[in-house]
Amino acid sequence: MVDGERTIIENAVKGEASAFGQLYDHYQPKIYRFVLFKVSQREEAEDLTHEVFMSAWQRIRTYRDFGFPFSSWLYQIARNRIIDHYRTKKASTPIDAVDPEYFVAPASAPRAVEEKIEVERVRRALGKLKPEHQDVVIMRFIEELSIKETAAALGKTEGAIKLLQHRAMKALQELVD
Amino acid sequence: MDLLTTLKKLQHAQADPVYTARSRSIILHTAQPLPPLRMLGRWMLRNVESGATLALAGLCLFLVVAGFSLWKSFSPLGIAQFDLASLRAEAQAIDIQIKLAGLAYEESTLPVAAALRSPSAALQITGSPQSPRTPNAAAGTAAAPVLPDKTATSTPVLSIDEALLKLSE
Repeated sequence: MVDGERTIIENAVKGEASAFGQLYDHYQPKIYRFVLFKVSQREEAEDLTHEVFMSAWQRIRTYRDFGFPFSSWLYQIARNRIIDHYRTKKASTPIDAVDPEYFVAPASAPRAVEEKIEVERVRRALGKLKPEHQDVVIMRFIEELSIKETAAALGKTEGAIKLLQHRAMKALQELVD
Repeated sequence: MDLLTTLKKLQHAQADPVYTARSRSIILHTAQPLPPLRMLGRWMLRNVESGATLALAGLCLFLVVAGFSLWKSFSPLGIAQFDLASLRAEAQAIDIQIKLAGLAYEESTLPVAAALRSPSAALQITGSPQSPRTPNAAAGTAAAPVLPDKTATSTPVLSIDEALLKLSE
């Protein structure tokens, strides 16, 4: 969460572009990653992320703070946009379309190769999960959202998220092994 | 390597900075849609011309209807008498007498032939311009055939010339 996020959001709701700019800077990398793991192509992820934030900017006047984090509102828009994307686009590209180098932080040479292979295995396995399992794994373990935030973003109860998380991790572990 | 640790390593994926800067700039320079009330105001302003036309037409219609109603109620001419029952009664009370001033019809050949048989009658016929057959005879054109009738079978048929000759005697 950004410092003084409530005030920033209030200003953005009033139509202040600089306030929305601050929200963009903070949340764009998270939303971009979420979209990227779902669509697997950088160009598509960039386009969809742009559309998500454009939609958020145009609808920000309708945003109401019901005690949920702002990120859950953005994730909801992103999820709906991705669903629309898959509805209109029949053929999907496998997750292999993204260069593995893209996901790994720079490290020393011998360890880097080992890490790269491991990360690539997990990434492929993630792509094979059911969409709602993917959502939970990305939000909970990659973006490190809380159970409450994840529940708000996915429109489920916290209990349902815990159950989904357990099943998703079990399925992922089986796929990696 | 632990699965959770590996998943955290996926956090390094980031969008192209050039794309990010461009996208941010485009979004923040895009005008936000107007709130519903303002949109309604704009819409009304945009349609004020057609709205005024409709209002004027409505006013005219109202004036016509209202005017007619007022006239019906207060006019000394008594538009109330225009009801159907009274009109029908009035129409039935009128005494209509139609006389035929003149009746023209085409005579059959029978009276013409009879007239030609009697000299006095023939004279009357030839003198009368109203007979449709006599002009031919009076003009002396080729002997117009006089159609025979049932009564003329025993009497000799005279031609127009002969009839004229007789008349001149």
